[in-house]
Amino acid sequence: MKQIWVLALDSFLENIWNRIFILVAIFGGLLIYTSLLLGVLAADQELRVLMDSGLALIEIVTLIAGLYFSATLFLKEIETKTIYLILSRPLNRLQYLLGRVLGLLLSLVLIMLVMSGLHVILLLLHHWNWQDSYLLSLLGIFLKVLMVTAAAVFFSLLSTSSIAAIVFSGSLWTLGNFTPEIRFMTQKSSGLAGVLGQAALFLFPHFEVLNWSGNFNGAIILSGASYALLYSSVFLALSWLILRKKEF
Amino acid sequence: MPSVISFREATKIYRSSHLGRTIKKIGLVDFSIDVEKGEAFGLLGLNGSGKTTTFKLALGLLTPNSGTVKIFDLSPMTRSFYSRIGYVPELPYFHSFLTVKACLKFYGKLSGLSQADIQSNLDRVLWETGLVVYKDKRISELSKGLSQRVALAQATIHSPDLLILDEPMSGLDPLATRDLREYLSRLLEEGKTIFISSHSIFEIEKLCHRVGVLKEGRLIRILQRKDWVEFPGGLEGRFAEIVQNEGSTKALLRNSVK
Repeated sequence: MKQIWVLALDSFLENIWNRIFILVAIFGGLLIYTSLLLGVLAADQELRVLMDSGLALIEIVTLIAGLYFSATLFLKEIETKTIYLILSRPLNRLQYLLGRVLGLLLSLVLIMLVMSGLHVILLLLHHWNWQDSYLLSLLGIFLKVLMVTAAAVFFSLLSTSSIAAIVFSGSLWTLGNFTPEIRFMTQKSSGLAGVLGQAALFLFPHFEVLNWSGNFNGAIILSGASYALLYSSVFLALSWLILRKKEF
Repeated sequence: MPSVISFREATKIYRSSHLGRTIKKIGLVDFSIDVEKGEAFGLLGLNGSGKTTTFKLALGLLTPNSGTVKIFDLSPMTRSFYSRIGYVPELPYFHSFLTVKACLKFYGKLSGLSQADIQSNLDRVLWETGLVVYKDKRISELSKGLSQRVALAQATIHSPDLLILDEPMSGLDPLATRDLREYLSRLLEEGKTIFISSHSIFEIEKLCHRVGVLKEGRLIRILQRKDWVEFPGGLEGRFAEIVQNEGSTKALLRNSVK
């Protein structure tokens, strides 16, 4: 466990020092500022627009950072041979994977904290009263990004191309936002198209179970969170299966 | 007494696919050696002769297609003995934002050292590798030679019994090379085992008890110290003679590699 934490902290520090982190922070700040302008245009719905657009932008920026970090994480270590120095230590490849992924997630949490902090300040300046559902929305965003990030880790190890990993996992995120529509179309389809639709539905992430805005039903939240954790765990388990046999 | 490193007819063939065609490349063929405790064993060979493949097989970064590899009488897949190994890869990379001290602490922790051991070993290793005055400098501020010293320091911070060094003299100036050789000689006196490759034949000649000559993935000769000490051209002369006179492995193996 100690070595997992050491690796996690190392990844976290590396990401903070990475230029992309600074760019993401600036980008996030600018986007949230843009949402302010949108809010002004929305007149009487200003607060609602500010809330919704801000959360959407937090999701997109965290997703971009998550995709970038996860798709380049192992490939960069292989390219620079850092992985040789780590795997020649008394730790197994599962510890290595968990350490690196944990560090990546810590980085994403920090990015979300920075952006949501800025967002909350903007909301409070517009006389918003704190609502606990805001935290639930952030948790939902984090779990969505976690699912896509875990998929990106898997694709990066499978394809050994960071671009392919970003494209595949980015597609999963897009499709995951349209699963109700895909389900509807599948129900209308028959034959092979119906079977393929069902199979695709099984593979795509179902983000609709993580949209909890204003919903304080504990059972729904728990089942949604469990689904996201299970989905991510499957991709991480598959990543481990690749990594344990991988040659460097 | 079991060997520290033991290869038995280890063969590694790299396979890659391109447009449906499988391309095979010889990494190492029927490689057998035993490296004893307290010995310095050098690997010499031209580029692509299989030196790095040998080290990667020893570290479990690659698995042989056939044959066996054992370190401390265990398979490299058994990770329990890795705290007894120190490794320096060719042209290592360290996070440029870390200071020398932070970098060595990181590898000390990964090696399973306690906080107290890290502190005491850090002072020792900084002193032995001549990095004391650079300990608070960032890696990005170091020259190639100093980075190479950091590489050696990270490999020895946990006082390993076996050092696997892939081109450790690369990028070092003559004085740094001499310091490194002296440091490695001291480690040998302490009973450590060294498995090393280098293009600097002069350093290998001075340090090693035995040298294996590789050509196109095949171990073509193992030389004892007396084999080059008594030879007019020294180890360099022996190496050139052996490599030039040996036939191509590719021709010999073309039909045997499937």
